[in-house]
Amino acid sequence: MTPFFQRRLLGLGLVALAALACWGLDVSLDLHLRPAAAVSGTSLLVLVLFLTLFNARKKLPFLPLLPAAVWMQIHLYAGCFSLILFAVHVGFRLPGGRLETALAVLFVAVTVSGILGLAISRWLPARIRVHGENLMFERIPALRAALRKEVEELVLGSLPATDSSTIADFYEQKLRGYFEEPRHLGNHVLGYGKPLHGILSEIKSLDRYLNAEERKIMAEIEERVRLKDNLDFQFATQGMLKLWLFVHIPLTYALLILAVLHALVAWRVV
Amino acid sequence: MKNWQEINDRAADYARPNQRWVCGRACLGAPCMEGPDAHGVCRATSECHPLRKGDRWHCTRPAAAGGPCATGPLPDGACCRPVPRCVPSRSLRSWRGLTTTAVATVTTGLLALLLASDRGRDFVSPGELSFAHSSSKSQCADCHPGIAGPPVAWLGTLTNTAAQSDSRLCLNCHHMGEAPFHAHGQSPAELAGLTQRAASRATDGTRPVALALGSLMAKPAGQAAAELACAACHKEHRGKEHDLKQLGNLQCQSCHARQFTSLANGHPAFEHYPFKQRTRIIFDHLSHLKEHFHEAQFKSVAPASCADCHEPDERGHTMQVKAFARVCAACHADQIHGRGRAGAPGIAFLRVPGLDAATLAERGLAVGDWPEFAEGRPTPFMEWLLAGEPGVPPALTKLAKVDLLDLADADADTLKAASQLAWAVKGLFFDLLNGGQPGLKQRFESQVKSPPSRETVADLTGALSADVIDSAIGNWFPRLATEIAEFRSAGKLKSARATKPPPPGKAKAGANRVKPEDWVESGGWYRSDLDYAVLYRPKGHADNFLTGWLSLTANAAALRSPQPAARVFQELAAPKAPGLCAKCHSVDDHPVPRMNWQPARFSPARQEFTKFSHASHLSLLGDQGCLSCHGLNLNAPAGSYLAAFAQDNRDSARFQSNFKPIERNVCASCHTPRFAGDSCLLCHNYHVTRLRPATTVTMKAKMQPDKLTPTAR
Repeated sequence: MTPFFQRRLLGLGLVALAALACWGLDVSLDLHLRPAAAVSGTSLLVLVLFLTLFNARKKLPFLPLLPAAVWMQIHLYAGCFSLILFAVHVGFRLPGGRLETALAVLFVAVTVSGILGLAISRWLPARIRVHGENLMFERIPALRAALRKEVEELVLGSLPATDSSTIADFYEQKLRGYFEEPRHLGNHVLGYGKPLHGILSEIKSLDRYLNAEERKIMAEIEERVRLKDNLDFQFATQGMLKLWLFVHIPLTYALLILAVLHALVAWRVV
Repeated sequence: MKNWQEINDRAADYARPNQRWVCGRACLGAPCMEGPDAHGVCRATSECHPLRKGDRWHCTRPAAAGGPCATGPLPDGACCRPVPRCVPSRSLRSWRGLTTTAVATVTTGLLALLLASDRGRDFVSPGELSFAHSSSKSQCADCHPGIAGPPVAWLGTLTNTAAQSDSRLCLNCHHMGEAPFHAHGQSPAELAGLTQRAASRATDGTRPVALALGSLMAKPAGQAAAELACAACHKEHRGKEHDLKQLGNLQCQSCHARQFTSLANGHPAFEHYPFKQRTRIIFDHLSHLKEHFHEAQFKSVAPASCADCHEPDERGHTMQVKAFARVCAACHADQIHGRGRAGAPGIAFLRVPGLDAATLAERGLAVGDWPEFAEGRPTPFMEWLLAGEPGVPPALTKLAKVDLLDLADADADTLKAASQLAWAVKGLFFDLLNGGQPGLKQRFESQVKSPPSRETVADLTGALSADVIDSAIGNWFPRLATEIAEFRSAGKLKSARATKPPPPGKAKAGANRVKPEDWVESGGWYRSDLDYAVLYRPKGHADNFLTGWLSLTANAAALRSPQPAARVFQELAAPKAPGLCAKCHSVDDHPVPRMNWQPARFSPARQEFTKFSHASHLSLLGDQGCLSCHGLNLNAPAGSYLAAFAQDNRDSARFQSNFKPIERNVCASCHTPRFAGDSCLLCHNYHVTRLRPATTVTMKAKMQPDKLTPTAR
């Protein structure tokens, strides 16, 4: 058993024990006619607030509060536990009121987005590492502009050099849009290579109409097509790694606001 | 393939992802060195900041931007390559922060609008109310105090924890007895007693594991003197179809000293169920079933089955005894009427006591006319009616063991007491003749602590007629009016010697005139000249005169003259007394001494700890019928049932039932989780009280004069 697996097993085991204890406490309180929902609800609110602190921790790196990696692990396991605590709190049934329904929908949305984010953050980086040159996300627009400029120089240079507009025409029809902006982002995320294959096929089909000089230039352009493909891949995958937080974090704050309102109303009648 | 991203401090610009703004020309691959400030304002001026060394300016453009330019700075030190301002763009992180802020703001804004509106209440409500509580007019404040208006107005009450105060609002519509928030509606002292009794009973089961483990983590909510909010058990806001009374078996048991798994496993054995006390109507089932129903004279009218005497009440819960006229009269009506009775069928209400009037006259205490052949003693009724007259009670006490027919050797006090008694008796007759029933009523009122009702007086007088008193006086005290007038004015008679009264007037009668007691065979008053008594013959079962006097004197201690009242009761409740009331009607001391006229009746509004519906079970009876559950106690000692009703035993808890108690396994054979169910609430009530709808606040409000016109809905 690898250390990684051991750690995961230990973590999940602790979560399972905590969930069992939580469920047992809820059942006990309910059996003894105590306000079980108030206890589980208060615990859940505190837990969600704690989960939110992870975002604050990342913004305060200078504080000696355990490494962010450790916080991440705690965040993940606490998030799993919060899902179980939520199910216990609602009594394993659909909520009744509108506020409670909205709260449940938000909670599920935050949880699902978190789980998807976790999956993305485990799946995509491995693909990024092996796809091609790893590029910094913030520099990709500049690199795209530079690449486009290189290709255009090659295309423009081919006119006098080959006394033919074949390459220029092909660039204008097939490649100009490709180099201007990010393309095929969805395919890159899902790992489909068909678009690149399509472009390369078209380049290959043009080959019979080129002379030796044109072929040399076309080979340069083809290399840059591959570079652009990697650029788009990097942009899509790294963007996805950042964009999922655009769902997870705003929904979390909406969840917190509704949760506080729900807590105030519920405490009023406990 | 070339690596075209150079990462070193000289060749590449330093991108800071945490910055909020990015140079607008970064996407063109030519960001300026400065970058925007924190507010998104472009700070671009030129490609370098020339540095003066000596008298020359040097270009300081970084290597990432191409290194020092060929032209170099201008003579005045300005850079020769100005950079036009850009339009900075937000970083991804900044957009994320904006998005989060926008979502939070929109959420808060929408909530604020919603909560301030009329729909806010519906939004905040945790679910639909059950059918019983939902109406178009229901407001949150009906059940949650301080919550009125839109939810934004509740902010002022958010610090109040309100389970108990909410429960008090429940009482506006649900009257739950005197201790509504204590377990079972019982006071802490009563609960302590019940707990002690339960803890002392043996059980054959084991404690449920869930409760055993649960007790490690939580204490029960309703134990001892703790108050329990209504919402602890009754969960609202779970939809229209939700059963507010639903509760699990383990929840019921969480407070109990004895906990068990199920009805069949561990439930305390039934003790004397359902018999907590002796029957109110004395009826020995065993003797009737074994002997009386088989006697030749009764065989034809004897009941053939339990259903001939018993029927379910209107709700089908308890089995009631049918009315006397339907089940008992066929055999017992004649006894009550006194037909064939050896002794007098009537009750002596008034009797002229035997008296040695001659001796009294010789000693100067003449009492006037006195029936020569009177022999009896004053009736208990007379003693009670005379108890309010000064001097009479001591006189009666003194004469209790004196032979009134021979006063020759009596001392002066005894003679005086006898004289006092005689004049009291005469005075009673005189007052009855002249005062009639109103006069009797005055005597009653002097003996009871609260004025009797009109109906009670009617019962107690038994519609006593003037004629029977008139004829009695005419025969026994023909000169009563004169004598009383003389005595009451002078304190004694003018003539000290008894004079022979004129012969009594008597209506002529036929040769076959029935005896007076038979003349009133259907009930009523008659005079007996044999023992100089005015008697009352009962009309039949539930005779008002008998029931009135027995009800009044059963609790003799509550009356002003308890001893004579007790003697009245003893006379009427004697085993052979006319009417034979006490033959079938028991007397209990609890809660107050009373005669039980009716069999046990259970108010539909009264909830006890256990409940049972006979109607639900009648279809399940086998060939044995009612005996399927109510087995006869054939092993009981003979006569033990009736022995419990001896006159000296008024404790209804001391009894011997004709029937064996029902055992737990009789019920547990069907009440399993798989068949009839074994929920605690099937057979037990939590609220042990008399349920009645409380007068609601709104009902009271509409009784005000200015609110008599109903408002349109």
